[in-house]
Amino acid sequence: MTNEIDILDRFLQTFSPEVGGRSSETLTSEMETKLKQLSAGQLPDKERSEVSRELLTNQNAVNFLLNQLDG
Amino acid sequence: MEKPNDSSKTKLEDFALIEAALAGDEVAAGTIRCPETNAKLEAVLRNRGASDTEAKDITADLWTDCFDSREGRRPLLEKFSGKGSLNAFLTRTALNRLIDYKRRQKFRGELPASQNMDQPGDAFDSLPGEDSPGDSEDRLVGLLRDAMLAAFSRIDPEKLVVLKLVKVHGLDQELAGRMWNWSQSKVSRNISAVMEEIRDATMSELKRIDPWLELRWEDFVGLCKQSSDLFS
Repeated sequence: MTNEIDILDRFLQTFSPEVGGRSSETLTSEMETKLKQLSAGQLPDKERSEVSRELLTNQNAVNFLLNQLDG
Repeated sequence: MEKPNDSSKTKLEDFALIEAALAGDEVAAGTIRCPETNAKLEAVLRNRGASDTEAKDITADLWTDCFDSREGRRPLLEKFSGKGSLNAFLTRTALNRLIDYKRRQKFRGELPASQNMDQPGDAFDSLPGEDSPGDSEDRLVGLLRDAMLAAFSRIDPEKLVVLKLVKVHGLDQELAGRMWNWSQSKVSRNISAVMEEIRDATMSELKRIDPWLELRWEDFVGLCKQSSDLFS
């Protein structure tokens, strides 16, 4: 089955990298703490929106989160 | 000896045809500009919202530009990069030109009457900010991107990120649920709902940008895939 969001995501990474998650800004220690909390299911509701925006635009944030889950 | 696969074989054939056609080989030019391809291009344009006359005119102009180098421009076929088939290249170019034509038509309709009496192809076409036809090749990408960005901006970031983590990064739904304190079934429902939101918002945005355009969601996704394959 075609993974439509995968196709759309790849398109945005190609043609709109600034919003396609290709940003590679360094994570602040505060954001790292929040991502660790999220991976443990302990991030307060009110902070999830901010962390979600970071995850949508910063590939480093996604990698950090996935590493936390792997560990 | 390694045999070329069907795709690379077709590309070699496409390049050889183009080279021969541009060197003046009438048979090669006739093979590219065959009635079947002509009919297919016209049909694609009609299916996307062109009138019969518009489809015929745009296709005829496209063929002319394929082989002619007028006003210092290179023949259009020289721009064929080999990414994708020649037919796909011609279809995309035709669609780009349709978008360009319809937008110019709309713009012309919005001009004051005193400026709207000129014939097509005159001073109107050289208004500041208007691109030459040769620069119209990425209209389609711009349209798809703008519609998608507008759609994504309307989606709750939390829901969107859960969708991407699961569908793009392969995160297990149950694991995603644990992070958000959602049940696995809520994650699953969220994914379906967000995809529907993206679909509806994108189609609505496309209609807002180019109301004349006839495009189904499946076409939109297909064009996004084709664009990424061609340009990345």
